[in-house]
Amino acid sequence: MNDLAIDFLLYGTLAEIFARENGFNKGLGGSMHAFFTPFGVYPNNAIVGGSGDIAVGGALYKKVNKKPGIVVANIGDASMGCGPVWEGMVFSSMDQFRLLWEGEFQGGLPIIFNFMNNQYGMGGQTRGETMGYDVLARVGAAFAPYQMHTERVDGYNPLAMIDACGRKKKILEEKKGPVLLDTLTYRFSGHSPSDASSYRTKEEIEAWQNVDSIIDYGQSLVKAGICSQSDLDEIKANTVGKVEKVLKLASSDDISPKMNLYANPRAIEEVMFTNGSVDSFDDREPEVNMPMEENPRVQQIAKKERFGLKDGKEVSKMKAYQLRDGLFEAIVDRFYKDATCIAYGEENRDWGGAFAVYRGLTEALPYHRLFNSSISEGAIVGTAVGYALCGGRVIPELMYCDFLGRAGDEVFNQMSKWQAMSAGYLKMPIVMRVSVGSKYGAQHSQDWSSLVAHIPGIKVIFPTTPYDAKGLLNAALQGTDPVMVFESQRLYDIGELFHTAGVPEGYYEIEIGDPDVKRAGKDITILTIGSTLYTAIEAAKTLEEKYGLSAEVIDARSIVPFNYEKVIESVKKTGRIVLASDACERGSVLKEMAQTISETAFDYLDAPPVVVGSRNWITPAYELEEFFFPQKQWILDAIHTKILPLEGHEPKHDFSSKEQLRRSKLGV
Amino acid sequence: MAEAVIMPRQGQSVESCIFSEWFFKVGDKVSKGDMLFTYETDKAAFEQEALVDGVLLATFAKEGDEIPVLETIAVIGAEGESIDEFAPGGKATVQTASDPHDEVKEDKAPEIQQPIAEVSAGKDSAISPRAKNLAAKEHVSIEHLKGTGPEGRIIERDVEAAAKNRTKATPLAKSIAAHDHKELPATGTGFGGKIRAADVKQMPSVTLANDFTDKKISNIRKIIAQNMYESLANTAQLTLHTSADARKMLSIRNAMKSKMADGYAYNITINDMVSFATIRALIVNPEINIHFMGDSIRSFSNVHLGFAVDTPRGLMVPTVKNANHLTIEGLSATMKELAGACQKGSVNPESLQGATFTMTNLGGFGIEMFTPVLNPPQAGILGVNTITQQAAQLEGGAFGFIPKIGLSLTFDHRALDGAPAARFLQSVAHHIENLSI
Amino acid sequence: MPKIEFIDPKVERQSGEIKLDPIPVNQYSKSIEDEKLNFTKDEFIRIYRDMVIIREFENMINDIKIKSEYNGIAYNHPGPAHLSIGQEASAVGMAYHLDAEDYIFGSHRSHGEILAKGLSVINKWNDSQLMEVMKGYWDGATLRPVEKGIRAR
Repeated sequence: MNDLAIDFLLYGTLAEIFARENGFNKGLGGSMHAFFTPFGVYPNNAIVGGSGDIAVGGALYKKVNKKPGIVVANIGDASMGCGPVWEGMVFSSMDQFRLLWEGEFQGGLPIIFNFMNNQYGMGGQTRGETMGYDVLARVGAAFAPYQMHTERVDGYNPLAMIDACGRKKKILEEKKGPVLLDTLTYRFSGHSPSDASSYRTKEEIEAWQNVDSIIDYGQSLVKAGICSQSDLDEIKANTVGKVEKVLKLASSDDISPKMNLYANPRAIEEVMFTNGSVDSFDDREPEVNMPMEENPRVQQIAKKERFGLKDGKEVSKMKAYQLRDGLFEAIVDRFYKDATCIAYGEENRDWGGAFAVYRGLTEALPYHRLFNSSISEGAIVGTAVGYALCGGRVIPELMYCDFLGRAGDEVFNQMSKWQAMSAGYLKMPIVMRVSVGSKYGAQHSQDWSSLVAHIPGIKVIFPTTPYDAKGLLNAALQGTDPVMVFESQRLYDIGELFHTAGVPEGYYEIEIGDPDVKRAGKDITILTIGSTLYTAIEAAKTLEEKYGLSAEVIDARSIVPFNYEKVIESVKKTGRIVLASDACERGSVLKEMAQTISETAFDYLDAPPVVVGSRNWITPAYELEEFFFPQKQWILDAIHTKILPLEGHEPKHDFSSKEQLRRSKLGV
Repeated sequence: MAEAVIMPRQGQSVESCIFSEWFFKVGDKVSKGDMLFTYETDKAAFEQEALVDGVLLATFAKEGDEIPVLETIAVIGAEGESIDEFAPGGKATVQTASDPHDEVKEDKAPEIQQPIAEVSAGKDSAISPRAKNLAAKEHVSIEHLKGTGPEGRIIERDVEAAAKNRTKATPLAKSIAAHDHKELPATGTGFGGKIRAADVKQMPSVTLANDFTDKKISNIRKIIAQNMYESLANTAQLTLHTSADARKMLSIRNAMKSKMADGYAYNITINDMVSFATIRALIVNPEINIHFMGDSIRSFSNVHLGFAVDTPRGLMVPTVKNANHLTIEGLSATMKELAGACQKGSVNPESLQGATFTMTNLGGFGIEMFTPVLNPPQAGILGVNTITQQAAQLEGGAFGFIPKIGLSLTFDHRALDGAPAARFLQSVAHHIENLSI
Repeated sequence: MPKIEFIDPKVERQSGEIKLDPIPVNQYSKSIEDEKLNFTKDEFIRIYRDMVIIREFENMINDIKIKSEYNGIAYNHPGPAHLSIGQEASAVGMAYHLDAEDYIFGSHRSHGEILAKGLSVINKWNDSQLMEVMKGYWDGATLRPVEKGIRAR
């Protein structure tokens, strides 16, 4: 049986390397992303240091969910140059694990950062050229008073390595992690077979080959009388036979076909999202501090007006059930349902989140379910990826959308990819919250939903009313896919002005991807993303009162996926459409939507779809924002100039094609 | 490689033609077979198709220019090709495509567009897909629509307005118009061309209006005018009227109709039959089948029958040569072919010459009697009138009504006297009444 | 609660120095004889075998990449293959104590780690555990060719 299992292991790996459908990941992972989780082999990562923070998430999962076992991040010596590796080590050694987490949850994360120190990173030699640590193990001394139990071990001696790992594993089981291992090793092969190894001498390679661990160890076994040379030779011969066999199997197109995209053109499409619906990822009772109804925030919300209009007037901010309340209700509900659900960010506990969404959660939840993290956006998202991969639901939060750049790899290469690269085997139940700012200038006011929408594998929502916020967030928190939630800071305190029945007290979901007609009309459609909805409503009022035009206003609500049916239906009726959002116009996802509408409803169009976005500038100071973000007047001017001249309208902004081309020529 | 467009030669005798009109502008794309321009000879107007695909690069003729045949009048080629080698030695006006960059400059829109600039939508103006579909559905011609969309684009509302408002007017405008006994104007200044009260009020007073427009006449009109005037001024023409029993012709016509239903290929009309009878009469009365040359008379041994054709360009008179040799089917087919060519403007000028006698038929308009004008040097022209029911003594001695076709013969008294002319007319009537085919 | 972690200026402003503990470097010094207490004969040999399997697996890929054949079996693999020939002891040593509940995450150069970890788990599991996983994975799609191959031999 062991023999069969070894063949299975070799074949599953090789078939994966050869992109065969029988491979461990159906050939969608490949050499650099092969893994087999039933044996505890979690994803390899083609991004250097990619596992440096993801593995920490795995350790977090084990700790929070009281799962046995430890986590090892096998990363290279050169990854010590990568921010996410440092962020991962910082995150994993936060004092709070030892000092603030309570009861059985107290103690260090069970993780070994095992630096496979083969001395080279691509063409760069780490010690002596691209690094300054002298001995890599030195770095561990910087993290936490116990110095991460850092140690260099001779990775050319299997027994030394076994000894070290055994000792370190014990440390982790005693909750004294994390651990740093500097595993001294050397590769004879180049970076890849195409690498001529021009950066190192033949003598150096030979010197290491002379101490080849396999030969050395074999000889010492013979010398110690454990076995004979012929035993070793037999092992080698057996192995060659096994390798030949799996090569024959894995290279055969009949036995190991590649994914047949002719027969099933949707095979990859089908694994981009897992589209699951899961109440809870663990059967255990969720750890909470009090029954939900005793929570002060819950009690406060109970007194609020769940519909924001009374006798045609807006209810005061203090009395209205706000968008942040909708977010809170969805999140607190999930915390009481799913024991694996955790949330963290830079100001989540005590502060209650920078925009008070989490106010009340600190009282409700123990430390291990809601905590402040180091200001490590990469690790905040990276650990969430690891946490989700291992089977938990997680709500990471970056205060500002603008900080997404700091988590670029984690969002664009990790969170978005692993479901499909595992052929749907892994789930990624991450609901990642970011807020779109205003008032705080160029680095705190950007709507980057278009950037995220461009990357395949992430769902993107942008709720703009309390009803939508609760319903969409419920759907996101019930799902198994990564969902990026964009929230506008302008709207946290807005009441529900559209859903006349008010925001339901109970649980409900709004389908992700379904836009909503916020105002019915027949002459022109306005499709918005984000807070521009409210600007569009104002524009619609003016169109009605001043120009006798009835505008239909549709809130996209979701960006990925996006069901065009309602929009196309509307455009067929009106023949005209303006698309508006706060994102900079160039490359805005609205352009994509406009293009799709042009292609699918061309014959119904009375004018080209027109996009009104923010200027392609830095976001200026709050006092100048009206020159940057789309205003009501812009929407009217754009309609007048490009779609339907409005009788007596005096445009104040230049939406002519000429001006459009001029700006484009200058790149502004 | 650019290609020259030349003024075609229309018959051996034609040395030059008058250029009329371009159907394309310089810079337009033309396709082989597109109607490119019109021109006229002293006898007829013609249309010329483009013979190659390409862009109209330059034109060297404008309306009214007299152009020697075979001379280059335009160049068709690829955009940007040189036209230097084609330009006629600086004589003609060379109009070349203006530089597109200049056009942009000329087109310079104000920084911010003016509200609702009504731009006349010519052939080339843009139209939204939605407007186009609506126009097709509502059978609205977009040719003369004014686009009120951005940059003059025809948009849905323009087509809707045209569909609804073929004379759409405000209720007030309608009531003012009714009160003042005025017709509504064609378009108004309201939204989408709606007629507003102000439009009606601004209409000129019925009594004081200058109700005429001046339009230059075409060259063919000039030629007709000259010919007609000269005919009346220089000959001694008078007209005789009679009528002939049409019963035989009508029964033949009915027989023909049933024959045609069985697949007979010729549609022999009353006019064909009258012409056939006239040719027979001319054979037996050769003294009217002549040209009066002032001091001599030219007699012809065959009948070359001219017949008047009404065309969009004006009156044309093609000739059936040696008409006396044709059967009625041959005559009918030849006349239809020539008439068709005149209608299309493609008639060979040779066919417009050499008639010895002319027929002209206004019977289709219900005309009972008229005085046709001679085509000198011919000495006779027979006007064919409508068929009317006239009282007559029937075979049994009883009186009744029989269908009779009116015949009006104008002849030149300089060439022959009244009696031979009357004899000829009587002969025509006889051949009509005893027609056998 | 962070509020109980009082940041006391008196303490914070005290002078002193940070003392680091010594960092061990290659301290292991046991011989096979010494380790005989810790490993059985089979275990010693299995460590060797696992290293050989990894080495041969990567040699094969290296041959395929460079010569498009291995021991007469021709194949062209256009995709990536970052090899760790020479690093087998590190991989096997790392994985030796790890069971399926222990998770490893890797890099672009992790074939050896995957195999070492897999071999370690295979060694720890009984037949029915192994069979259940292998039969269940993609409904046995990965297992079937291997089973057939064994019968064919």
